Formats: sequence, C-alpha cells, structure tokens
Amino acid sequence: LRSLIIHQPRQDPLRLQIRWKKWGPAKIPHKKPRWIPMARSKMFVDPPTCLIAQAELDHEKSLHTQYEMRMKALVQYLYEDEAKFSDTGEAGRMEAEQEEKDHIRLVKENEEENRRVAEMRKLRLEQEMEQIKINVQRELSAKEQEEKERIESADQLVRREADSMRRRILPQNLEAAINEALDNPLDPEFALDRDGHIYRGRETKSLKIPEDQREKLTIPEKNQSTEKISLE
Amino acid sequence: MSFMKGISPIRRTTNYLNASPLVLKRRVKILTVNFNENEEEEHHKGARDFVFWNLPQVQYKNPNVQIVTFRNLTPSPFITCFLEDNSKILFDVDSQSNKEIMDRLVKTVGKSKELLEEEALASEAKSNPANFCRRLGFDRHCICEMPGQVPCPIMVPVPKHWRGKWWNQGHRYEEE
Repeated sequence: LRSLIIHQPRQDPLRLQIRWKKWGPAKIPHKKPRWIPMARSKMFVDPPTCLIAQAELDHEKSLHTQYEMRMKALVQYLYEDEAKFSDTGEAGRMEAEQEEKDHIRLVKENEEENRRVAEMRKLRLEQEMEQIKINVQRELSAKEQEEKERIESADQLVRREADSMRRRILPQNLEAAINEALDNPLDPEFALDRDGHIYRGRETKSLKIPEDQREKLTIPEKNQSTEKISLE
Repeated sequence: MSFMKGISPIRRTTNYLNASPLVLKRRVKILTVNFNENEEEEHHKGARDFVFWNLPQVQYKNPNVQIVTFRNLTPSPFITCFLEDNSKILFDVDSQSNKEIMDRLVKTVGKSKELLEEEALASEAKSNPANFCRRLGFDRHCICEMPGQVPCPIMVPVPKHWRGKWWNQGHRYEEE
C-alpha cells in the first residue's frame, strides 16, 4: 500500500500501466524508467574486451585444471587409504568386529580348558587323599606292632628275672651251692684263629685238635627274645 | 666372564629375550601369576618354570604391560590377565608345563604370527632413493656427482667467496 502511494505520480496524465516493485524495500530514487531509451553516447558501444593474452589465459586455465586434477586424485587416494588401512575406516571397523568375535570365542575355549584342568586336579587330589589314607593306616599298624613287641619283650624280661629270683641262693642252700660251684668250674677262656675256629678252654691246645673236630665260629642267628630288651 | 652374573644368565641375553612368541594384544594391561615356591608341590612346577624362564621374555616383548607375581598364597597356580575393558581372563595352570602355559597364552591373548609379520614389515624404514650415502646402502655418494651441480671440491676448488672461512675471516671487507 505504501508503494502504491509512492509510485503512482500525482499527476499522471496518461495514466499508463506502471509496473512497480512488488515486494522488498522500494528503491528511491528510481533508476531510469524503462520506457526512456538508452543515452545516445552510450548506444552502439562495443562491450569491454579482455586485454590479457589468450595464451596466458589458456595457460592459467590449464594450470587450474592440473591443480584440480591432482587435488582430486590426492583426496581420492587418501579416502581409499583411510578406508583400507586406518583403524577407523571400513576395513578397520570390520577387522575390529572380527577381533571382538575372535576374542569371545577364545575366552570360551579358555574356560573349557580351565574346566578340563579342574577335572584333572580333582582326580589328582582324590588319588593323593587315598595315598595319604594308606600311609596313615600303615603307620598306625606299624605303631601297634611296635607296641606289641615292646610289651612282649618286657614280659619276657620280667619272666626271666622272676626265674632267676626263684633260683637265688638262700642261706640254707649256701653250702650246697658252693659245693656245686666248686664241682663245676666255669672256664670262659677261648682262642680264635684266622679261619674262624674257636678253641674253648684254658687247657686246650689249638694245634692238637684235629681239623674235623674244630668248632667254627658262625654268626649267631638273630633271636628276638635275646636281642631286644629295652624297657622304654 | 664376570658380566654373566646370576643364575642362568642366558636369560639376560637379547637373543634369548627376543625369542619369545608371546606379544600380548593391546587390550591386555596387567598380567599376574600366582604360584608356590615349595619344590615338593609338583603341580606348581610348570608355573615356577614359566616365571623363571619365560617371564623375562614376555616383559621384554611387552614393556608397557604390568607383570606381577604372587608367591605362596593359593594351593593351585593360575595366571590372570586384566583387560582394558575391566574384564579378566583366568588361566588355570595346575600341573601344566611351562611350554603348555606359553602356548595357551599365545593362543588366547597373544598376537597372531601373521599380524606380527605384518607389523614388522610396516615398521621397516622404507628405503628413500632420494637419500645419499653409499655406506648406508643408498645409490649415490654425494650431490657433487650429479650433472649440473657444483663439482666436488676435491677436483675443482670452490670459489673463495663461497667459502665460509673466507667470509668469516673478514676477507669480504678487503679491497682487491
């Protein structure tokens, strides 16, 4: 409405159809109205020409073309390089996914292995337990045996002592005992030779005894009743 | 031979240390080994051997992984790997030999052989043909042998006013 007021001249005798700016800020003052022809000084003027040599323009254009070509090639190369080799590109991402899957699989396999080792450990521990039980049984029975032997040897000692106590010389038997001792002298003397023969008696002459009658000294057999007499 | 000190000093040689196949994956941050030192416990023998013979190799190949040993705490030996996402992997190594333990670790948390080879290839310094020095294996000895360059001063003395010696001794101020 504002533009209507400005553009329509107050006294427009011809009342021609006037085109005015339909939107936007009005341009005041207006340029030359379109029905007024071009100024005579400006008519038939050649358009401005480029004074720069064509060769130079061509050279510049070719330089630009070369530059663009190289830049695009570089960008393409870097794009492909990033996709193929970098850790964030396509290939890198796929590799990372594959690695994750592999990792999960390997962890599962490791857990299987752990279970197998646990089984073997269980078996080993059971075997060790049985071995321990056997050892304990053996030790217990050995101890029992030892105790039994100890008691037996103590028993025998007591019996022997009791026996010797019974056979002790009483005052009324003294003379008889003396006479008996005098009648049966004990001769503990003996001689040995290198061949292991023993010659008992004080009066025995070793060379006078024939060879077949010589007594050979042998290692006595281990007699348990005479060996162990410990009372601990 | 006074530098080979200690028990089994072969464990300190670089040849031995480099011979381990176990390079841990990047996700493994800590490795702990639990075992007992008592010689009578045969089921710990593998773990003991692993710690004695193989742990230096593992640490050498993985300098950024923390490796800890715990002695005489538990009745059976085990190895724990702590990963970067706060999870653990437990390896029960009761009655296993140190070779078996090593193989198991390589299989589960070690980098594969192909990956190691790839990494070795990538890290090799690529030979740049633009470099000089025949002694280091490049093609050219010096830029003086290239046509169009300043010839070698052995053959043709360099103009005096190009020499730093002439310049610094003040000859440039002399009047000829």
